[in-house]
Amino acid sequence: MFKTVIGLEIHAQLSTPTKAFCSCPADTFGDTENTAICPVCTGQPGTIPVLGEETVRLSVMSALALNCQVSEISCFDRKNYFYPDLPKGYQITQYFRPLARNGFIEVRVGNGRKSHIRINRIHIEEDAGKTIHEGASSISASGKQGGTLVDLNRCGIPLVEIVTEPDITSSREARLAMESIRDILRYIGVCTGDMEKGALRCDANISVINTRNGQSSNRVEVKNINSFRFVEKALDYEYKRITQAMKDGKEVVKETRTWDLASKTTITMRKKEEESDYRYFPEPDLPPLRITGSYLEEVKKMLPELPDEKIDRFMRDYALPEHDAVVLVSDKELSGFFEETVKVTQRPKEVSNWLTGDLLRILKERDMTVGQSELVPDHIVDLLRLLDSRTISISVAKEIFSECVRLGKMPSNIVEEKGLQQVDDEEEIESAIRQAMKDNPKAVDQYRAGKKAVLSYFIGAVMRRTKGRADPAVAGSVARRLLEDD
Amino acid sequence: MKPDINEDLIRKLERLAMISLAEDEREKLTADIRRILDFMQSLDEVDVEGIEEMVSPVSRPMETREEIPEHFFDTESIIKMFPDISKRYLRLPPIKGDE
Repeated sequence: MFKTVIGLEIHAQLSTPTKAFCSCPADTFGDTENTAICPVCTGQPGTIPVLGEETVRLSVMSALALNCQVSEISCFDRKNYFYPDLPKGYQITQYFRPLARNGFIEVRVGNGRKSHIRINRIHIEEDAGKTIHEGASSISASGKQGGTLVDLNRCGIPLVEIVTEPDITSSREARLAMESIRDILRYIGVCTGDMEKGALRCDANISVINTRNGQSSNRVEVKNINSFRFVEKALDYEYKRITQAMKDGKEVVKETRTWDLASKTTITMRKKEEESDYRYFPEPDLPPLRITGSYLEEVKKMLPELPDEKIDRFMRDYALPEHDAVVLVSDKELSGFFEETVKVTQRPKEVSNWLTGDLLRILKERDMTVGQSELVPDHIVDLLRLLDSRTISISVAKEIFSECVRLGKMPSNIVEEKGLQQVDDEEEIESAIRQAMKDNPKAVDQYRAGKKAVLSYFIGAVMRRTKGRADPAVAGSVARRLLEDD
Repeated sequence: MKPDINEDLIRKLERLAMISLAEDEREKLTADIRRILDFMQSLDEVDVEGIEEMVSPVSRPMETREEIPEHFFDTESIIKMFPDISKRYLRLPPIKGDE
């Protein structure tokens, strides 16, 4: 038997107005390269970093939301490394005295169970620039072929690094922990959580213990994981690779690997032995950061209700199943919309069904957010009323709902305009069924020979003929009567 | 605790400092570092019981900056310093990169 031990290091870009130590704008995604740069973030001689107040506030908020103890005094250090994405030659980080320690999150793993994942530390640091490796076909201004291009817009954007304890026991749990941290950071508005845009990045450490003989593999680090799916896939791959090596009696090398999108495997990046020493030392240009008790209290007051508390409240107050609550709460806008609607209708489960089912499907198809859709709570209130009074059938309701999302029209207006009122005229339904029986006598014989499932064919025929306006229950009972009588 | 100053450590320091030493230099440096560390150890004799740790020699507290985003007025002068450019990218010889 093998036991997996996983720890995560998560880098989250803080949604601050400026970079961590200079006034360059921090929201530069998609901007022309090297437009948000200045002497400070490009490491010009004689410049001095000045810490931004929002960087501090958002980091402290993150620490509080992840149940950490915020240090009264934390300090900045230099992490030295030589690479063109960092012109200063060092990254300002907090190595010896991080901003906060000893936190935890409760991760929902399904069936109402929660895993307790401890957080070792959270610290503030600055991001590096972006390098692009070009093919030989590209030619520079001076006529040279091939090369590496550097964009320093991202250089100096504030990050928090969140380091978990190795409390995670499966790749799935790693993914859930990652998602849960993303949801928390989004809720408190400190990070967009957008992995595709690099606003959230993850490295994972994994080792495997053979529970039979107590032997433990070396630790392998998987870097550059840029989607939730890949967290799970890369760790699944590593688990298989490591356990196979252990079964074969081979040594698992202590190394850093990277997830390779093309081969769907992890490949060696560097062996741990070769890893350079970063020669950390205190940043002489920045005095220690002091977080007072009153400042902490102030920031605490800004924290909104966190996802985990909200899921519990939705399950308790609206009697929703855990799954519904989790889906609704995973999107702050969606859960707000839900609560607004339920305030009027008092029918949480039905509203949840519309939102977590049809709405999310339509939004996904159209790549839209809740806020971008035209849907308002009144649409759902109106729709439920039309269904209650049996004015429309459920299939028409779904069609109307889609129009509400796209065009923002009131359901009753759509019904009026398009004449979508439910056909409750049995004669019309009867004639539709008689026509279908004439068109397909074989189906009639099959039904009469005992194959009752054919009934759905006749209901379908009625729905087609009435363009979905018939009540399927009425169509079914009329069809049954006609098929059994005649 | 006094670290063991052996050849492995000296070689590691060489690598980190990106220098290479001759054999006799290595011996001399080993002796030097030992002497320096011995001297530093005299600090251990000071009784610091009950004295608050000095985190930084800077007594002034951190003063933070209000975050008002502003583009630097002369990014062109920075770009002008790039040895080679492509559009506005800093262009370097190809790096067989791991990042």
